[in-house]
Amino acid sequence: MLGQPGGLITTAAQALDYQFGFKVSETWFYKFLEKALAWIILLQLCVLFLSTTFVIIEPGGQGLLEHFGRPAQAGAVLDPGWHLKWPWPIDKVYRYQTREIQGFVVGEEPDKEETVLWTRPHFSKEESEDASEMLVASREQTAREDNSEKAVPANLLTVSIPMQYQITNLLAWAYNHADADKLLQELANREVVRYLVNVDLDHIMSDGRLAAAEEIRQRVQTRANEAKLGVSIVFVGLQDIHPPLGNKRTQVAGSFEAVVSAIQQKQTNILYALAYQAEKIPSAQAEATNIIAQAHNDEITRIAVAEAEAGQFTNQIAAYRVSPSVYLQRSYLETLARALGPVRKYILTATNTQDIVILNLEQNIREDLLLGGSILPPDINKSSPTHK
Amino acid sequence: MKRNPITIITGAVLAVIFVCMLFTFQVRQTEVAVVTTFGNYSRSITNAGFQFRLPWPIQKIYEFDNRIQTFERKFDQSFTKDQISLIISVYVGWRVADPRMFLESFNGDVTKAEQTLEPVVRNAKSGVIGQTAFSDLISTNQAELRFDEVETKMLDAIQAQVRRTYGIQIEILGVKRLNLPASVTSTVFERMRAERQRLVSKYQSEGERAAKVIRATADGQANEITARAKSEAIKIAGEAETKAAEYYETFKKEPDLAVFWFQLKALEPSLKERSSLILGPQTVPFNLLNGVSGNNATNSPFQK
Repeated sequence: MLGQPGGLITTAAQALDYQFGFKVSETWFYKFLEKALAWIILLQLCVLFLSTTFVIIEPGGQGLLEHFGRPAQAGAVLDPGWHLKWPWPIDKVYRYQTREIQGFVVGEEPDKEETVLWTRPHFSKEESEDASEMLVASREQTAREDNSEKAVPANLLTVSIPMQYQITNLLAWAYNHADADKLLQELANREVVRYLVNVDLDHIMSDGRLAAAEEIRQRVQTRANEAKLGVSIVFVGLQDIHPPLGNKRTQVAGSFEAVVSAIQQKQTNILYALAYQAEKIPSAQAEATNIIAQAHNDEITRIAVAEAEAGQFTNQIAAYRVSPSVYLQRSYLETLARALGPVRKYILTATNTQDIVILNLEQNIREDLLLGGSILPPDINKSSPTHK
Repeated sequence: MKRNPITIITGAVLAVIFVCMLFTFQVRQTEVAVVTTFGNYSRSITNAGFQFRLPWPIQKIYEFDNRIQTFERKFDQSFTKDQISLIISVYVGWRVADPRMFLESFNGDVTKAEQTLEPVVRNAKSGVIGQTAFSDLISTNQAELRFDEVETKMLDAIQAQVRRTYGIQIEILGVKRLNLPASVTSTVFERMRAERQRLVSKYQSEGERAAKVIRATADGQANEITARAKSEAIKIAGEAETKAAEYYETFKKEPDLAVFWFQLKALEPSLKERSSLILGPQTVPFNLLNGVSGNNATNSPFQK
């Protein structure tokens, strides 16, 4: 075939003649092809060969240029753009998306739940036996630890931590590890486990969350650097780390919410007490002001009355000195007349009887006693059933 | 016969390519290679680059990935020194250290190498965990924690075995997951819930205590304010009495009259409504009534 390539064409022409029913081999196109086929094939080979002498790297990517299998001395890493190189198989280029932000999740893979609640399953395995909670230390449990007991001094947390990274050193990424992405995920898992077994549950669930995210990011970065992965960890998110759902018998996440409610209740009680305090103190201050003001009023009244009485008494002295007994009697009777006007009075005028008169001084007094103000004769009093 | 020069050139090029393929090969940066001649080991190539060889079947080339391979051992259950059951998973990063030994041990098959590595890793893992207390693996006390040390022990135990036997080197080992069996998990859930219940009670009682303290303090402060005001009022009343007493000098002029006068003043307000008086016949001015009844005319002032 290499010695006489025209023979192959002749055979093909005979087959075409037979199929089409006319002499294809006598057409101008066939004759041109017969003469130029070798040139055409050679030209195509040349074009193909020459096409391997340059490479175009797309935006966001980088190329790794190898010369006889070794990284090219003059710039093994090709940035986006057009580059010349030796033809294949002398130089080979391997492409990587180095600028692209890549990511993975440590722990549970989240479902596409729009609303994420602790008490509702939102991970695919969360309710199953395969749920993979992570062990978390507890400061109190550590303090209580007693080797004689078999209690497990640990807590469990459901964890779903997204991590994002970017390739920063292509040579390290490509040459040091067969599956660098997988190794990075293993390292990240290890660092999360390592962090959680040494951190207090309540700390990471509350104020330590942000600091924990940064701490884990730094630890994963350090481990990645030690493993020469050539990556930069750009993000570690701890937003989805929470108590496990529990099982049918024991709902754990719900009990954590009860604590939140209790904290709220505590604050509510304190606020009610503060409201009581806010009302009580000003009220007492107002009462105190009132008492003192009343005292001042009384003081003024007392002094004024004393002054007035002194003045009145001075005036009375003159009248008294003229006729003391008359003045006294007159004053007495005037006062009595004024004072006894509205008062109910019983006047016992009979002195020659041994009867004991019992008067009912309660409110239900006989009407005839009240009306008219008449003084009943003793004989009527004797007929009263209250008389003995 | 006249040869077509193009045909000759094409043939020559193809012949050169064929010869190159037969007598040369490349070793990539990521690879190591072992060359055998008639089945016997000839040499190992650990440097990347262009290499010459004798054509097949005289020489055969075995190329292996020289980068770190990541191998993950699935979950295994192990007992700690203090008899706590743990489920633990480790990952291992290994690479070909001796290409010849790797070829002879596993025929260059990475999968076979990892299958062989698996029981070795499991053995080391169980052995080391069995010597470790649970509190060495999980504790908030950094000084107490032996997590890193446990990993190093596992690595050392595996390393000694695989380097001299399998021709591979363990570069990385880490604990990927640490968990508890399902039966223990239930009791941990129960304890976690009890712990939360304790916190609920704590916060509730703290809230009640704080509220009581605030209320009691408020009551105390209010009482103090009122008491001070009352004290001040008494003082003011005393001062008023002192000032009023200055006017009482006047009453010394006629003490009998003063006493009588004050009695009268006291009498009037004491006889307000709803008072009932029982008066004897001698009470002035009611003694006048003795004459009205006719019984005791002798006592009537009208008779005098």
